[in-house]
Amino acid sequence: MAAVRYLPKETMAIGLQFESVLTAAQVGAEWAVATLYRDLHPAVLRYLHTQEQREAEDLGSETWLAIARGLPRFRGGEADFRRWVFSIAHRRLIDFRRQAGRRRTQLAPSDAIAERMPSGDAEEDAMDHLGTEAALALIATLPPDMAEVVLLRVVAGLSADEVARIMGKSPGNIRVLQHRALARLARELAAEPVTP
Amino acid sequence: MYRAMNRHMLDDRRADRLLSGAVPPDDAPPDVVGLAALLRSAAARAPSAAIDQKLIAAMVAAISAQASEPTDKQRTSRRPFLKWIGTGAFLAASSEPTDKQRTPRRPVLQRARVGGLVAGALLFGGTGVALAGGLPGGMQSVAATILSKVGISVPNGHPATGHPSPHVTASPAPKGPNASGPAKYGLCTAFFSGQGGTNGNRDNSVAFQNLQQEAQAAGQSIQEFCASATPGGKGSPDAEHSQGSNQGSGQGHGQGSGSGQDKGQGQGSGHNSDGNHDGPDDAPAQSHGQGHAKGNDG
Repeated sequence: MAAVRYLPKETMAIGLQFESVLTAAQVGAEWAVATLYRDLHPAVLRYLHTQEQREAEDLGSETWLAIARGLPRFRGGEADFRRWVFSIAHRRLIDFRRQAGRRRTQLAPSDAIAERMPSGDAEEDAMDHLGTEAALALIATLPPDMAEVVLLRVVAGLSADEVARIMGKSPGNIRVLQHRALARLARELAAEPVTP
Repeated sequence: MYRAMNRHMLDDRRADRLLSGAVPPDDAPPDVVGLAALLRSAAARAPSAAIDQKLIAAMVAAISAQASEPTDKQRTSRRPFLKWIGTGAFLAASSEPTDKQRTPRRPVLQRARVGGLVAGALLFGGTGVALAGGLPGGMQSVAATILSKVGISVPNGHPATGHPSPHVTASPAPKGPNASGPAKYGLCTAFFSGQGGTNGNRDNSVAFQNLQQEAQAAGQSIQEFCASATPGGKGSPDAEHSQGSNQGSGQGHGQGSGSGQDKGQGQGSGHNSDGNHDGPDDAPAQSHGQGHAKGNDG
């Protein structure tokens, strides 16, 4: 299946300048490092925050320091760099959970989600205005593997094959997970009480 | 409505398109418009984060520390190349700083230096030799790699790349024992006892090929030919020697074809993204599929 990326114009923010930015960053140019950070950190933080709210900032910092350690030897384009960054963020997350001896610290409370969910009878219109926070909160209610797949697909903008490589699963397994995740999200959307 | 969505929308292709953002809510079919909106909201680009100056400074320090350390590859592969091209005029080997003396250098500077050395080599005719493929194996490979970056194609010095042939043998070709001589009994015993059997490349072994040839020359099958073998050779030095030759020959045929360098390259690509360690392992693989040969002739 073709690897179509989510919102390519937005996710590939650096674009043609990437190679020169990367080269400068690899020799320690602060402006270039800051450019890479500014470009990807919001998505990295969103990915981490949705899964580990309290630790997201620390995990984000650890991720960027790990990126810095490997950066001089990195080879590839912007899409490769993006995948690499999220693979490191994924590992930081896994390491954290392993060390903490827990799979997940927090689930978004359902009542908080309910408060954020849109209300009204015009369901489709309401969905159009569904806030990012509410969407992420709903994704956070998924089982960890499913949430991870959806976040890597949607927030990180990676293909199913790339997600499979990052998570150490087969592409078929990822497709099963994403299929179930979407079905579950659809059920949640349908079942969500629509109260003012 | 969402029951209908569950029924119809969740085939793999549609799920993939939804997650890829290929189904914008405005254009989405009614049964998936809500889900498309949810995913679009989740994918909306987050506002730029404030720059954490301390973190950036720590990153720059980490990058500088990493960049100043030459990689193992640089240490092992560059020096022989420098020695070969006879760059005493450019960089005397004795003046090459030791690792302790080595001052931090940026990759850009290292590349510039290697580039200068390549230019020097070109001036002194190294390219001509490289174009002819006449450099020693490893040197030829290094020269091919570097010259390919400036658009010059030269042989890489590998006798076979990508698909090592299982039948390439090191020269001189092994002769193997004389199957009609004193080694006959030992050969026959080894052949029928499973020594050098299927896993030991019975069919490829020079010794067993000799046995087969002798049997054919006598107009017999191996069984018939061996039926006349006398046990007098059993335990004799000749017999023992012949068995040793059989094993050695079989291994040589079974494994040898690629070069040692091929093996290293092949192992370099692989389990990049699945590990639990950071680093450039996740960078795109730089080499592909040459590592199947175990390289007895490298």
